[in-house]
Amino acid sequence: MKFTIAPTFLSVLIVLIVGVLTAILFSHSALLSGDMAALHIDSQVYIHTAHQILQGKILYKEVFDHKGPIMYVIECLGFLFCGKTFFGLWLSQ
Amino acid sequence: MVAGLSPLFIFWAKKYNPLLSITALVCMISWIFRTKTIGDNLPEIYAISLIALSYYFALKCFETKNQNRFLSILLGASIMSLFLLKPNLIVLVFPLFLWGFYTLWHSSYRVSDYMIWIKIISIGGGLVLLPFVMYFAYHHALSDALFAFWTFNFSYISTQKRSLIESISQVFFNTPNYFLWFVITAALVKALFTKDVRMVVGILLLSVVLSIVVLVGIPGRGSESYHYAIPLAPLLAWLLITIGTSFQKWQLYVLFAIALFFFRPVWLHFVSDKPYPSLESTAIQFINTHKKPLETLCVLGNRSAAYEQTGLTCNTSFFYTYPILENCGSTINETFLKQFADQKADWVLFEMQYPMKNCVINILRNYKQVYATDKEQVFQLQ
Repeated sequence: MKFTIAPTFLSVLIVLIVGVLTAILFSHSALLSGDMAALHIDSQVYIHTAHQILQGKILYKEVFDHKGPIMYVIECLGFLFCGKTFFGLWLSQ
Repeated sequence: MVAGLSPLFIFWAKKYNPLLSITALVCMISWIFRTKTIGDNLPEIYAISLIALSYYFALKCFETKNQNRFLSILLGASIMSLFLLKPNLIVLVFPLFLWGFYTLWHSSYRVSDYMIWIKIISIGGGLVLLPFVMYFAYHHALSDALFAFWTFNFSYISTQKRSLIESISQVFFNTPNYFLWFVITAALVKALFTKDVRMVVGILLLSVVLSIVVLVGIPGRGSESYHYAIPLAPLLAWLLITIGTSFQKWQLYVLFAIALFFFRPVWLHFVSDKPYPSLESTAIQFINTHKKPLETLCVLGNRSAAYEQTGLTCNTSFFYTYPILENCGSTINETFLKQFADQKADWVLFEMQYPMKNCVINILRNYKQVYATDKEQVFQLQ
């Protein structure tokens, strides 16, 4: 099958498809409820840890979890977008 | 995920075929949906982007025969990021190194070129690792970080009860995963009839098996660990791309139709109405009514939302105790008890669904039960 689509258009098209499919995949994420108690216990751990780090606590020393530090870099970035509604965290997915 | 996945699928769309790339993407999303069983599975979801980026940077370097230094540094950075997300996920970049050796074998590259490339990758990894080492060293938390990230994770694995075979069987055989069987069967058929891709298919299949063993088998959590298979998604997409390489037009359409069949449950889930569960707790309401400013809380269980809902801080660094404090006498258990003795919590919320060992329950001696439901008890310091 010969490739005939312009490269730039193709790139935009793929990005759009990835965006739509991932939005469909995470459409029912409890993060969109904005209610922390509705989240799974693991998600609560990640959000609380990120929140504590942003309040100045030292990961592993003052707030313990055993997930890798990169996890909390992403979580903190998501929190910085829209922390209260968790929409930023949903977006970071 | 959009930022992480797009470069790889654009690369495949340009190199092979847009429809094939979209087919692999649809299948990948279906795989994530099938294995995403508890909560948001955030580490596994974040890992997908890093794995896809690692594949993209490596494929750009290898398949275009272009050992671009910048791409190689980015490859090292993405592999190290993956390692710093969850160490065992590193198994998913295993095919890159096998593929690298295979490419080296079939090219004019010398071993020394390959070693230089490995060194550049290491620099990329070091650039990601260094800020974390500096952060923890500056805060005198390097040993805490090593304990949590390395020692604790390995000791946690060793406490799991199910054997490797039992765990894999519960995840992949108790509930048949037709998509996985379809991809593996198609890959075997492809390898049987197409000599050109035999080596790649072999490497990818070996990686799938190895990843299943490391991600699902070794943790030994059986049916609780469906979500550990989520990060296999980019590997399966790569396998599907290899299967579809040099397909005729009609074959690609058939493959796309099969992908849509596997995507059907995702769509049905999307259009379904799924209200969020209401988890209002009267125990939290009780604490909120009686708390004083600057008091502290300890949750014996696993409900981090309690801190956010009450506005109270945790008296120790262990804001959840289940399942990390399951083993009495362990280093982490003793650290928790010491921290608790040094600074007692004003409130203790005990979730009864998580049975606590006596070594933890003993901390309630100086407390009075002030509220209880059939699910939780609230204790106040006397």
